[in-house]
Amino acid sequence: MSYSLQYIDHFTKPRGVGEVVPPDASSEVKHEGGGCFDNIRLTLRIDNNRIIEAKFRARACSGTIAACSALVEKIEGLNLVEASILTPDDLAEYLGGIPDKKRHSVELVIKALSEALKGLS
Amino acid sequence: MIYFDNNDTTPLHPDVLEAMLPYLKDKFANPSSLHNLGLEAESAVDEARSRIAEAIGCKPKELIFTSGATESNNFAILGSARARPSRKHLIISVVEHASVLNVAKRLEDEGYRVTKLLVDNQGYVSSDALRKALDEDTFLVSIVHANHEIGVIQDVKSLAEIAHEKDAWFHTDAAQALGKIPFNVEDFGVDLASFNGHKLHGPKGIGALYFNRKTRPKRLMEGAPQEFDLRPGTENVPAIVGFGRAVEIAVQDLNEVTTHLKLLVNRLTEGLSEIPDTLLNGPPPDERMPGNLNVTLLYIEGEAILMHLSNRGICVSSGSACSSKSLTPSTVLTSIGLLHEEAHGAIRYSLSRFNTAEEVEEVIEKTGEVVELLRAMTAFVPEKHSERQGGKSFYRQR
Repeated sequence: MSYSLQYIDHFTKPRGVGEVVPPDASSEVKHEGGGCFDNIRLTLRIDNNRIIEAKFRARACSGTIAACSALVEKIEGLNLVEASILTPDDLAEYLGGIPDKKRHSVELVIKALSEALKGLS
Repeated sequence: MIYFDNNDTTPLHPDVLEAMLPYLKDKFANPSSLHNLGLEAESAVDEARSRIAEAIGCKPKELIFTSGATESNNFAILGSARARPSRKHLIISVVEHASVLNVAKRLEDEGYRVTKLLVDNQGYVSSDALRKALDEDTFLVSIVHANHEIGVIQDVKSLAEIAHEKDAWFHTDAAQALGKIPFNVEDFGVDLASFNGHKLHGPKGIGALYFNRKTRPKRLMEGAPQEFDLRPGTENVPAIVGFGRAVEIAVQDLNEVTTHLKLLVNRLTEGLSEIPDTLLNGPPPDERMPGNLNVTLLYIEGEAILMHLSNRGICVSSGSACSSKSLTPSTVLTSIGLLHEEAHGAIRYSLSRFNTAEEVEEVIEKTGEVVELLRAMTAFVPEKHSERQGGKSFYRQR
């Protein structure tokens, strides 16, 4: 499977690179269970149970960078319940589909979101 | 487009294509056919075999054509095991190609003992380690001549001599070496050697295996008696002709191309070494296979570098885990002591005769641009890297 236009767009022009300072919620995750060392820092600004700003930093492959960019674009404006039910498949769909070998990327990024939201509860 | 991925495969040399075309069109016959058209095809196969045999210093009847170096490696190892059934020990190194590593694994599953020799931090196999591993049960030692990732060139002559002390046969995977560095089976004293066409501007799907009278492997496939009754199947005449022509050109131009590649890679090395926190993987440039450079660009991920370079019209390869389906980093890079995080940011540049000084300058510039872009978004800079590199070092100490 080749990369979608959305995937290439998010990878080459990533949205939301940086950090929300100080964050209302944050997470640091890395890929487990393999040699892949992708890692992500996700920071969120939350107001009235709604994500109003999301930023990321990543030392990662194209898939994880694209997935981080897609995530911060997608979750800004969502309330916490809407954000908490996002799945890796939702993110893959938002990216116009991803090759199987990049499945770990959307899973890692959704894990980063879950970890950040978990810190709020 | 700038193609710096020539250890993966090379573009066809225009003269090779010219040599092949008649055999893809009018001269299509089966070399086993007895009519004139068949005899013409047979002559073309014989001529290509003679050219390659002459280039590597063997007799034509000591060389069979295969589908590529993967088949040759399988043939050399499995065929030797079958030819020497009383011996059940194989020695390889940890920096072999998958077509050696996985054949060794198959033999291990069949009950053979397999010793994988470790390498030092530049990728060299130690003679002492080989001597210690050898015993009277060793049927074969198989060590790659020039490594495709880090360009380390093993001293196969010395290693073959040591193997022979215990009457073990010595095989080398010379897929990357042929046409790039001098290679002569007699001078090196190797018993079996694998080659292929597409690493030296020949066609894909063609390779060869050298063996001598004493070290004739057992055939692995059954069929008609082509290739001295060792490898059945109608010969791939156009590819064989192209392979022969590619070897002829490579050997003829070896010195000129080597000088050209050294100049290019020295400049590439110099240019990339100016990027902070960059490691050279493998031996220094003057010890490695011409045209090869492998570096780790710390704190960022190789596949992302590769993709950004690709979007800028530059083709390279990466040893990072995310470049592989298994999500494991290059075993060659971890074998020479790279941390997984370091293998993660490895990029291989492999140049050919068709690359230019202008392309090198563009690759240096674009690599710097991509590194800056990715480092600006990186999440973590582990302490151990900073301490290890101090932001400056480029060469590892042996």
